[in-house]
Amino acid sequence: MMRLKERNERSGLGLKLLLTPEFGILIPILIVCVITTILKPNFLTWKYISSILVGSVFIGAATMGESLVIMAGEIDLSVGMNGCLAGVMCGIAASQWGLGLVPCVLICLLTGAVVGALNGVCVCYLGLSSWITTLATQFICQGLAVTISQGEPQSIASLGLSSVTRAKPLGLSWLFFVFVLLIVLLDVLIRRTRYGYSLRSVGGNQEASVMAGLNARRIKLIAFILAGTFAAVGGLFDTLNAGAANAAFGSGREFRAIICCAIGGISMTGGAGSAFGIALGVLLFHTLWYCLRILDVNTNLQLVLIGLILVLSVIMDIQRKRLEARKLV
Amino acid sequence: METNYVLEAVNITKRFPGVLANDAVCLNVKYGEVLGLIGENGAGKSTLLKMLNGIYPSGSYEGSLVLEGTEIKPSSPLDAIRQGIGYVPQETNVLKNFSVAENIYMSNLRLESLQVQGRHSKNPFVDFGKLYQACTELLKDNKIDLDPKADVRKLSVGQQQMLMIARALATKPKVLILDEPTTSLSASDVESLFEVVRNLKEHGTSIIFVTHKLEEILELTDRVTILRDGRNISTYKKAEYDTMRIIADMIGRQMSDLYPTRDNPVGEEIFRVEGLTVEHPYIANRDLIHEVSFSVHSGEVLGLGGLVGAGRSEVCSAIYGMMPLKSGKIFLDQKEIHIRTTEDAVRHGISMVSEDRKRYGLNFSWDIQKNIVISNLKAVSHACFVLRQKIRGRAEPYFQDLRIKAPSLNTRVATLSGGNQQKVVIARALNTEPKVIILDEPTKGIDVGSKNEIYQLINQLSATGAAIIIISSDLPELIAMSDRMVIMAEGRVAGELQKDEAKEIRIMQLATKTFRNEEKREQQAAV
Ligand SMILES: Nc1ncnc2c1ncn2[C@@H]1O[C@H](COP(=O)(O)OP(=O)(O)OP(=O)(O)O)[C@@H](O)[C@H]1O
Ligand SMILES: [Mg+2]
Repeated sequence: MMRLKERNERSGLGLKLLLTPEFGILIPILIVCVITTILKPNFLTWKYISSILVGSVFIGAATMGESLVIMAGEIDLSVGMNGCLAGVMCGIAASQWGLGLVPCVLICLLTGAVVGALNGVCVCYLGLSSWITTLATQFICQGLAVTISQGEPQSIASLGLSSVTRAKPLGLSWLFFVFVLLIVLLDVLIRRTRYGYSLRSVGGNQEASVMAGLNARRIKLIAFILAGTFAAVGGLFDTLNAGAANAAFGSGREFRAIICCAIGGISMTGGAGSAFGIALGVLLFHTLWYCLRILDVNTNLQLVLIGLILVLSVIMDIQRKRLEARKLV
Repeated sequence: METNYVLEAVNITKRFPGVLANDAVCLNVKYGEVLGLIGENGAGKSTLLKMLNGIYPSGSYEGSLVLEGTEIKPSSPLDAIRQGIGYVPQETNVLKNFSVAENIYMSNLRLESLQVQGRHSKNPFVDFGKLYQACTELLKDNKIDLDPKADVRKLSVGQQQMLMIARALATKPKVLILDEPTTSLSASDVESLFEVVRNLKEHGTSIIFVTHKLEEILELTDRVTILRDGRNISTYKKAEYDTMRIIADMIGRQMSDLYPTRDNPVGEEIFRVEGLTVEHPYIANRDLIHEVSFSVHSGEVLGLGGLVGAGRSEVCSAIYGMMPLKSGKIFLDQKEIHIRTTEDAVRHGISMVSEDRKRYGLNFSWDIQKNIVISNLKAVSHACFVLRQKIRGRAEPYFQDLRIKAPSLNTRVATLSGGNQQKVVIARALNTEPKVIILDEPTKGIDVGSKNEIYQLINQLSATGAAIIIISSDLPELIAMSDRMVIMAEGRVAGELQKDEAKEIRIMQLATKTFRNEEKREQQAAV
C-alpha cells in the first residue's frame, strides 16, 4: 500500500496516461508493429499500412454498433449475420429488382435496423435475455441470407460503382473515410448528445436511471436499432468492396466485434466507453490479425494468439481499474 | 496498558485524496458496553469502523489499534474477524439465493471452527443437518427470531438486518460493530434489535453502535463518542447525556428547533389520485394497494403514515410509473394524466426520492454533477447536445443548498458517505423542478443538522407552491412536517387526519386497522 502510494507520486503523469483506457491500447499496437517489422523489414511501408487501415473498416462498423449495446449493459450476438443479411438484401435489390444506388443502400440499412429493432423489442419490452434473443436472430439472419441469395453471390455491378470503389483518394479506399466519419459521429453521439448521456447512465445503473426519469426501455431499444444499422453498414462495406453480396460474409464477426469492444475499453458491465477507444481496439485487433497473416503464422496458431491477446487486454483493463480504485483509497 | 478497554484506537489518521476523513481520532470501547458513535454525514464514522474491520488495511492509515492490550494490525476483513472484530456494514448485503443458515455460515459451511482441533472432517460435502442445528443454536442464544431454512429473498429489511448481525455473531466476536443498523427498520424491528444488543452486552460482548437517531443513543448506549469533521469532539457517559449538548457538539452550532415552522398558505388542489389499485405481483386475486384516493394542494405537505408494509411506498411507485395500475385515475391540475413510465411522471412535473437507496440509488462510476443533472438533461442541453459547461452551473446550487460534503462536484459518488449519497439522490429529484414531489423516507441515514436543512428545503419548496408527499417511519418527523396526514393500513386508506388531530395514539389506531371483513365481503361479491 505504502509502496504504491510512493510510486503513485513519483510517476504521476505516466500513471495518469496509463490510466486512460485508450492510451493503453497503443502500446500493444506498437509492439505488434515492431515485432512484425523486425521479422519483415518492408512492413513499415504505405502499402501494408493502408491495407491495415482499410481492412479494419469491416469489423469496425460492426464494433461501433456492438459497443452501443454493450454500453447499455446488454449484448448483441447478431451483428455479424445481421450485416450479412443486410448485404444480401442490398445485392438482391441491385441484381434482381434492378434498383438504383440510393434505394439499395436504404434497403440494406433498413434491414439491419429492423433486425435490431426486433432484438430490442424482445429484450426491452418482452423481457428476454439479450444473449438468447440475439443468438436466435443470428440464426434467423443466417438462414434468411442463404435462402434469399440461394447461396449465390449477388452482383451489384448494375449499380455501376466499379470505378468508384476502385478510386483511392490519398491511397486509401473511400470506405475508410466513411468509417472515420462514422467514428467521429459516434464520438459526438456518445459524449455530447443527450442520448449518449442517457445511454451511459442506463448502462451504469439502470434502476437509478429509471428513478431519475429516463425511459430505459426506449434507450436500450434505440441502442439495438443503431447496432443493427451499424451491422448493416458493415455488410454494405463488404458488398461494395467485393462488388457482390455473399451469404458467407460476416461469419464470426459478432465475436470479433465483442473482442474489439473489450480491447477498446468499453466496460463489459455497461456504462462507459468512447468512440476513440473503439477505433483503437479495432485497429489493434486488425493489425494483429493482419500481421499474423503476412508473417505466415499457422491459422490455428493465429487463433491461439488472438485469444491470448483478448485475455491480456481484459487483464490490463482490470489492472487499470484497480489502479484507479487505489488512487481513491 | 490499561486493561479497562477491550478495544482502543489511538490517534488514527486517514486521508483520501482531498479529504482528511479521520484526524487523530481516538476511540475506546470498554468490556461489555454499548458505545454510541455519532456525527454528521461524512464526519468519518464509517471510515473509522472500516479501519477497525480491516477493509482499509493496516498501513493505509496512521495510528494504532489495540485489542485487549495487544496491538493488532488487521489486514483484511477476514483477518479482523479472526482477531475478534465483527462488523455489520451500513448497507445490507445478503446472498439472495441462499437460505438463512447458508448465509450465516457461507465462509465456513463445514463448521470447521466449531469442531475439535485436529479432527477436521475431510468430508467435502456440507452436512446440512449440522449446519441447521448450529444455526438454530446461534439464533436461539442471541434471541434472534429467524428460521434457519427461510429463503432470504422473502425476508423483510428488518429480518435481513438481523441476518447480517447473526452472520457477524457466528464468528464469536469480542467487539461487534453496527454501522447504522436501524436506518431502514420499523419501530418493532428496532425494539427486537435492541433486545439482541442488550443480550449480547449481558454476555460480555462490546458493541459499537452508529446511528443518527438521538433517542437510540439515549436509550441503548452506555457512553457516546461524537465525531465532527474527522475529529473527536467529546465523549459522554450515560449520566452526562444532554440532547442539546450532543447535537451542538455534532453540528458545531446550536440548533434552535429541529422542525422549522412553515406558515405559507395552502392553495388550490393540484394533485389527486382516485381509486388507485395495484395487483399483487405474485399472489392472484390480491391487491397490493386497494382503492387508494387522496389529494394534495399547492404548498401543502401531505404525510403518508402507516406501518411498514402498509403499501405507502407502493402507492408512490404506482404514481411514479414504476408499477402498472390495475385501475384508478391520477389528476394533475384537475386534468387526468396517464403515467406509464417514470419519464411520463417527470414530464408532468412529478418527482420522487425512493427509500431504497442501494437499488435505486446512483450511478457509482459517475461524479456528483452528472448524477444530479441526469434527471433533467434538457436543462443543460441545446437541441439534442449536452453542453458540458452548463452541467456544473446546473448542479452547483443543489450542491450548495443541500450542503453535500465532498471536495468538489467532480467527486465520484462512490466515495461519498452514506448520508451524502442520499443528498445527491434528493438533489437529482429536485433538479427536475417538480410541481409534485414524493419523498419516501427522505431523511433516512441523514444526520440531525442535515435533517433540519432538508426540512427547511421542504418548507422552501412548499412556499414556491409545490405539493409535497412525504413518507416517513419517524413518526415525530411526520407529524411535525405534514399539514395533513393520510394513514394507510393493509394497502388501503385507513383514515385522514388534519394537523391538529394528528396525535401518535390516533395515528397508531388507524395504522393498525384491519380490513379483513371488507376483503371477505369483496371476495363474496366477486364470486
Ligand atoms: N474511498 C474514499 N475516497 C475518498 N473519500 C472518501 C472515501 N470514503 C470516504 N470518503 C470521505 O471521507 C469522509 C468520511 O466518510 P464516512 O463514510 O466515514 O462518513 P460517515 O461519518 O460514515 O457519514 P454517514 O453518516 O453519512 O454515513 C467523507 O467526506 C467521504 O466523502
Ligand atoms: Mg457512514
